Amino acid sequence: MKRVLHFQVERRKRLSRDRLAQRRLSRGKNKVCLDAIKAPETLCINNHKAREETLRFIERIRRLASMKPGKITLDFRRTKKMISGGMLLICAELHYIKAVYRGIYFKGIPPRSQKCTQVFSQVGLSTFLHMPMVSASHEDVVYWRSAHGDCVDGQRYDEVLGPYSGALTDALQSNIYRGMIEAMNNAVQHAYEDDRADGLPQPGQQFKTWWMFSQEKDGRLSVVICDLGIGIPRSLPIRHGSIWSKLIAGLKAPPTDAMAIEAAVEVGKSRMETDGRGKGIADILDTVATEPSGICGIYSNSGLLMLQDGRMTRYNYDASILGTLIYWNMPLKKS
Amino acid sequence: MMTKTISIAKDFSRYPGGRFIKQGPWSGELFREQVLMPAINSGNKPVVIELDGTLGYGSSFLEEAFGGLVRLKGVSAKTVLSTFEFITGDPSLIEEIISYVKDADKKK
Repeated sequence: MKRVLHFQVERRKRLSRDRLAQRRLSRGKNKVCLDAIKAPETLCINNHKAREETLRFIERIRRLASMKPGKITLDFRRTKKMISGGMLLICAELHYIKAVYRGIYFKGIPPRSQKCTQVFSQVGLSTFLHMPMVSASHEDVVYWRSAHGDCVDGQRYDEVLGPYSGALTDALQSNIYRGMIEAMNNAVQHAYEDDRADGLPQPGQQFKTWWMFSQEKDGRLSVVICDLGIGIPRSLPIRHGSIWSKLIAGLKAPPTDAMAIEAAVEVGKSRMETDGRGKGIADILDTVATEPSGICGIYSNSGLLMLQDGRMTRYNYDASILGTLIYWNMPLKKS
Repeated sequence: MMTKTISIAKDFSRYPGGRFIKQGPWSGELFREQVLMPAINSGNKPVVIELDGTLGYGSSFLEEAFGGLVRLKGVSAKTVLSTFEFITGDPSLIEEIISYVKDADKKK
């Protein structure tokens, strides 16, 4: 008897909640956009599960944009954590889709997390998504900086890393500058030389954009820069055909993306087939070579090459980021 | 004859860029054409190049500027290395430049 009564009480509560939600919907209060694409809780590309969710979110946006290039609503209410690489990739992808479908209008539903909302404002995503701007007050947020461009321009360094001039050793600062120039060079010269194979039309031959963030946290500086090109695993065979042939000659299976990234680094180090080239990708790893606790990660398509504590490790994910993202993390000088 | 000194930071840019002019401002190609070639053509030796004061150098910039003198402009490595002297607090930059010049000479 008690169980039946409990069931009836719960049923009445549920019906009353549903009716209330319906009434709100019909009045437009707290109107939920039923076809909004929900962003995951964590925006990230290094953790396996969070990466899958982040890339799935991006893929859904691409698919909807290609089917219905009008207004697209992105629901970030669930988002609680944003790692710089994942955040940068999302910013870049949204800009990219907008470049392909100029008539598209992105509308964002802000995160419930105040800190996340502040980050959105700080990196310009609130403006892009037509969300209300909020001032950055959280100590983890005020130090996010962003830039993007479509040429190799060293002056952009100041936008993102200028405030840290006194907080980095001279050697580290010039290494970061070198790595940044090399990353821009890769984006502008090589990344967009073929179809990205993301299922969307090409944004145009002039499109050679890179995006960059910096973030200071707990006495360390993170810098991330990305392009949405074909990725190192696809550009290496084009740029260094004979190196690529040697790489695959002794293998029983096709080389992984991480192996391709490592091969690209070796090309730069040995400057084989230089034909008038600099050190290339090797410069990117060398950025933290003088810093014992520095970390460098080169993410390209499904691969990752990581240099940490003097050791190089390779890792392959299931899903491709369809581009290249470089991550540096290094300590700031104590004042 | 007075030694000519060129400070890249003051006479060119504090922000050396990428390789080619078409890629963006203050490229290695621009530096070669605007600064290095006129210095070579003047016949004055040595020409001192101050490397310090910039934010840094991409390897593409250095290779295109100095290696490009040999690869593209037909200047001999011997002429390049006898014309230019370098001042910097980072000797690895000088080694790098010399290696680009010598490598370009080998590939001729």
